[in-house]
Amino acid sequence: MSAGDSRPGKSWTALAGVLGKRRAKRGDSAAQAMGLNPPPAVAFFPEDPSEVSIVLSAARDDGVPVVCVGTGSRIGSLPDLALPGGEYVGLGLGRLTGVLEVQTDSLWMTVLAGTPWREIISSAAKHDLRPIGAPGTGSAGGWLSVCSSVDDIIMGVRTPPVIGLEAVLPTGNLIRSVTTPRAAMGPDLYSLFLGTWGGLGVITSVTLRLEPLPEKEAVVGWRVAGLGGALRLLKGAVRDFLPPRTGTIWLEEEQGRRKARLALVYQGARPVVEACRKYILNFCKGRGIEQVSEAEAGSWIENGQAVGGRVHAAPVSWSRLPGLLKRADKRLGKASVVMIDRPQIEGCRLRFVVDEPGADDAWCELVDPKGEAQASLETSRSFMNRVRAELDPQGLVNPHAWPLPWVGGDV
Amino acid sequence: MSLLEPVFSDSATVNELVSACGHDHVSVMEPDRIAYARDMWPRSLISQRGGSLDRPPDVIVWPANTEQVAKVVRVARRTRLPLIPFGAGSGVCGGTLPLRGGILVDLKRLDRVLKLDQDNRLLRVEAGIIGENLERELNRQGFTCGHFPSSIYCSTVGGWIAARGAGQCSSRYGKIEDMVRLLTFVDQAGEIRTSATAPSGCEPWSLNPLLVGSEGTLGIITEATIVLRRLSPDRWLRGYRFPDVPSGAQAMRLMLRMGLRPSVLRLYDEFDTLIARPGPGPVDEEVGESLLRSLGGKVGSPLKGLLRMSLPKLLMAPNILNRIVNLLPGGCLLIVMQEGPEEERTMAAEIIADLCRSRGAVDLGEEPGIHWWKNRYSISYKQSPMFASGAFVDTMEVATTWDRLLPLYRAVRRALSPLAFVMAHLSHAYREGCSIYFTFASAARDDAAAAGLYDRIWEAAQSAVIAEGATVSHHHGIGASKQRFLVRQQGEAHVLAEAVKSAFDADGLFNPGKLGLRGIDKREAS
Amino acid sequence: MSLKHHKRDLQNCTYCPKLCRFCCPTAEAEHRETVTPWAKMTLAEMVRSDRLELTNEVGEIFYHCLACLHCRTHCRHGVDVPGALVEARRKVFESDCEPPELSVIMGRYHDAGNPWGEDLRRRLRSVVADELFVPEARVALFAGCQAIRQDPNSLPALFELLAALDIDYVAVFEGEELCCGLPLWHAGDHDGFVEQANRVAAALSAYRLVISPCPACVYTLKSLYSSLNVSLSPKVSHVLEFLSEPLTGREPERKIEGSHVYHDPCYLARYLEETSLPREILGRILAEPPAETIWSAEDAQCCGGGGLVPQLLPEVAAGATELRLKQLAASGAERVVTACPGCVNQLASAPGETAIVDIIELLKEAYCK
Repeated sequence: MSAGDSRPGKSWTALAGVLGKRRAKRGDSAAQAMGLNPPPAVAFFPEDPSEVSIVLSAARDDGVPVVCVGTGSRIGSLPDLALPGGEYVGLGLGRLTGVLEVQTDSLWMTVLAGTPWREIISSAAKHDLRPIGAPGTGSAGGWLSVCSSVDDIIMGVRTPPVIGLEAVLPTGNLIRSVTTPRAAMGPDLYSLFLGTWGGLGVITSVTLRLEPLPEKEAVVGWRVAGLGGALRLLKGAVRDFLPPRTGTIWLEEEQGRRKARLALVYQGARPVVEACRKYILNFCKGRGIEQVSEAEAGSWIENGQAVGGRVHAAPVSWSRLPGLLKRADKRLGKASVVMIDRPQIEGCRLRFVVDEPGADDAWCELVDPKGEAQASLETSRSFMNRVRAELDPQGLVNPHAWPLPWVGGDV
Repeated sequence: MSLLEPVFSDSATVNELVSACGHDHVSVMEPDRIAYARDMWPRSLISQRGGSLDRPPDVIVWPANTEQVAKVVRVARRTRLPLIPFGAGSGVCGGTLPLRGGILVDLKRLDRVLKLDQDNRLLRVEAGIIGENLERELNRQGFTCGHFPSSIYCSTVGGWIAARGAGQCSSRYGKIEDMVRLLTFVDQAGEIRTSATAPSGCEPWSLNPLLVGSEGTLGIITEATIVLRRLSPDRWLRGYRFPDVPSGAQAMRLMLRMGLRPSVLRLYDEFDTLIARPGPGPVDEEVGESLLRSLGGKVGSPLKGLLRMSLPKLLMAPNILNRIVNLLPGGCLLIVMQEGPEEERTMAAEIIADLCRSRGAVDLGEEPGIHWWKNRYSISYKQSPMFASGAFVDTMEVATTWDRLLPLYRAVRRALSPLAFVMAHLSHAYREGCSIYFTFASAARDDAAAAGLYDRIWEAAQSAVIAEGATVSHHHGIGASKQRFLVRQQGEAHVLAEAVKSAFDADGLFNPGKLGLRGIDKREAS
Repeated sequence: MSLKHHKRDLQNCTYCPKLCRFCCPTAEAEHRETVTPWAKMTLAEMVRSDRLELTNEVGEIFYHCLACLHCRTHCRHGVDVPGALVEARRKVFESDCEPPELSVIMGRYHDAGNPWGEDLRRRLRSVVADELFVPEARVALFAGCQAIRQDPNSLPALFELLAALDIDYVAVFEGEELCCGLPLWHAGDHDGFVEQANRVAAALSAYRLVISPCPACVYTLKSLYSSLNVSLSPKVSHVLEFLSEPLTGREPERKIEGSHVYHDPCYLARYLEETSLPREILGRILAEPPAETIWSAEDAQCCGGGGLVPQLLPEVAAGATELRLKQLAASGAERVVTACPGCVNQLASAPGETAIVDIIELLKEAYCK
């Protein structure tokens, strides 16, 4: 039995009876509630993880596809959104909301997956805390489903945003990890839910890492004559001292030459931020770069957040970046915005905004000329597909999101 | 002592392996099979002391490079033989035991540093290099990988990755999974694959989280790219004496909450403090003597008599021994080490001193820290005299969040006290929580009884850990020893674990009988 | 002595998590658990306690040891692995299950008094002037079979140096016994070694002082003999120890240019615990202070030349040599200088760009007019 061949039938009526009218919709009200076209035949809106398990179990038994939507903020971004051809079940996670627990000493909070970020942020703020790397839009579960990265760099290394996760497998099993900062218990099974668009299971609750609301913030900025100097400074900031919360370089053309603006944001406990500021200012002494006021540097950060146009982004090592930028200039033409951010020990992210036709493919070739990244991605994809085949042989859960898309643009 | 004959008796398979690796790099000899029959799992030590040997591998191979590893995997696939990847066999969980015989693949000929990329601080290295030898070479060029397990002298990079290990400085540099960027591995088909690209940016589909910690059950890791750090210009070391474990734990938590990144924070409970403090006792000093020395004139004759008993006799009264610990001069030692530029060390020293003072600690100066630094790998030397005397000792490292830490500590001590003498320290601290490293020692009338007692100790301890919602392992891995507890803790998630296993290893050839996963049973195959 | 006298060491190793394995040159060269100190001692313990039959296969493993003692540098138990393995080899030897290659070497030794079966007296006479053979002398140079066969140029160089320092009372020992017997000890022929030791002791009895360029010979004559109750009357010194007083305060004729790195011989650095004197001497005669490797002094890796391994297991020895040469080459020095004829020969035997030189030749270059 393949996806699309079956239809929700009597069992769905029974299921709707179990979950209640409030949490089950059919027909036009299902279409309206889910906002998908074509709409699902029935839609369920669980309010508890066990209900998600019930729905997915029933779907497996009946061979019916299930499409999940959180807040729906990202589903439209899939390049070729292909909802199931036949009848399918919608699973709206918008009611799976709520803050279950906040641990202020241990800096974590557990929320149901559909909880919007604004609610998470305001709930944490009551305890003078905030989630790390919160995107601000969408829901916790949705965000983790599409993207696993977070702007928390501890000693120049990215760290995952969660220390606990609960999900429902396509088999219907409701599983929960131990809440722990770290563990060595075999493969990290729960990593399979991060960035896999719900194809290996539906996240139902998340234990997020928190941090104290910063006691102090320091924004330090410089104008640097060339890219090399700016990169040296950014590298120095992130590698050998307590790293900044963010570090960003903007590159602009001025009379045929690239000039750089660099801003670092330090946030945290007062003595730590003050020590970081002192360190980085000492580091810059004698390097012939022009420091700007905190206000000006702050305005760069504020104005530089929104990036319009088609963004081409890629992680790149420090040594490759200048060459890549040169080749991008030549091949893709003048970029409206060039930014370098997310610095780590070994590299950073380059964002190159240009709207030229064919730029997407050209960018992929520039970033990955030998196809090594593509080969690794194919390896990952092939194993992920096999895991999915084991868990969901009929490919019923979130079939629209598989095979996993290559996201060549910004993530 | 009789050893099992190889399960496969025809030489065709051996010939194929010889074609893959060369004549001098394949062995079915008895001394090799004995040497590779066990790792450092204390349960195996008890068995060996009692005169029995764990099941040895049928054949050992030493491939020279990834291509030869791939050929070996293809041979195993054709002949349906188990494959056990092997680094240096320092694991304490039975992770490399060839439970179902098969081909043991020793990766130590893959020991080259392939590329040290100074600009990007990336190291590409083969999996079979011994940790200390790698670290010395990196130090020569001004770098460090920042990974210092107490097995650094006797473990390999591949083993670190396979077991998802942590070094003593993980609070600053992270665990091994934080350092790994790219892995080259041989899959079930004998194909050579890479797991990701370096640097890793937004990579939701990297296989690294699955391969790291896979303990040889998903494929054979042959190369890794890891991040490097500059050698710290200096280090600041200090010791503080806290009145008790809770006050010390709170100080640790607050330091990390402030955003400090000390390399080392280690809080020893009362007895572990006794072992950790510098003192006149030799490395071979017995537990009883250590206690006597520390208790000084506080004990009367009957107790002195007890403490002077032989170690095994002493350990057969663990409840009394555990209670004696309460008589020890109070205090829990916190060792702190801060690395980094001078500005960071100065800032951290000031903040840490203030925090510790405010939590009732006494500043002991740098000497305890320096002593720890100089002897940080020598605690393992205490193991031999214990086993030689007829006792046994083992460690259990678990982790949880700060809010559950003290209940976990008390629950495990309560569960173990009737069975073993137990001490602990907190280390590998993070903003959200910490690891507790328990050491326990006990003895029984003979080795058969010791093995039974050993199993009961682990059952009691891990049951307490699971009940408290903590992890059954923080950095030693699972191997054979903890797999039943892992499965218990996974619950329904074991379905996912088996799905992953099937995806990577449909035939169940890679290290079967580990992590609670299904695998080929050699007896069925032949 | 027998294996049971090493019981504590054997058990300490059996239950140890292999903490010394990283510095064992045979383990590193062979990449094989079976030849780590831990495994060798575990097998020996199993033999001692009758849990494992001593077969040819098992016995052969006990010969995979360079006797470099590097393991003990790091072992907090102070285990003497080479000492225990010698007893294990004794058991092998007495059980007639020694490796076939060893029988060949023993045959040569019994024929000619050295592992190569060569006429070393003739070789000695060919490199050293006749007038240096003075039977009545009270101070003798015991060259040792390694120096005569592997590093013969160092002997006339030494005498040129002595002449430059106005030392004319050292004669060359040319008795029947030119070998201290250490190869027999490493072979496990305990009784043969004791006999040889007694013969050598008798031959040297007329001297007041015996000096040798070979640290292994010095250790054997000084310490190993006495541990087996073989009494040796003369004092025994390494040539550097002997030269230390005459060189003190004496300016060299010239400083030697170029970059050098010093390789510590195992027997000098660890058995005789002498690491600073060679460095002091080099500091005086080199224009540029000697470089150090990441493995130096008591932590120096073995050159691969010890314990009969080059004769029995030449590929293993070559593997260890290659590793050591890489470490030495990484210092960037043009020349490796060392104070042992065995090390000179072993390091020079492997392909490599770095030149190997005996410290005696450098001293000659520095002090001779």
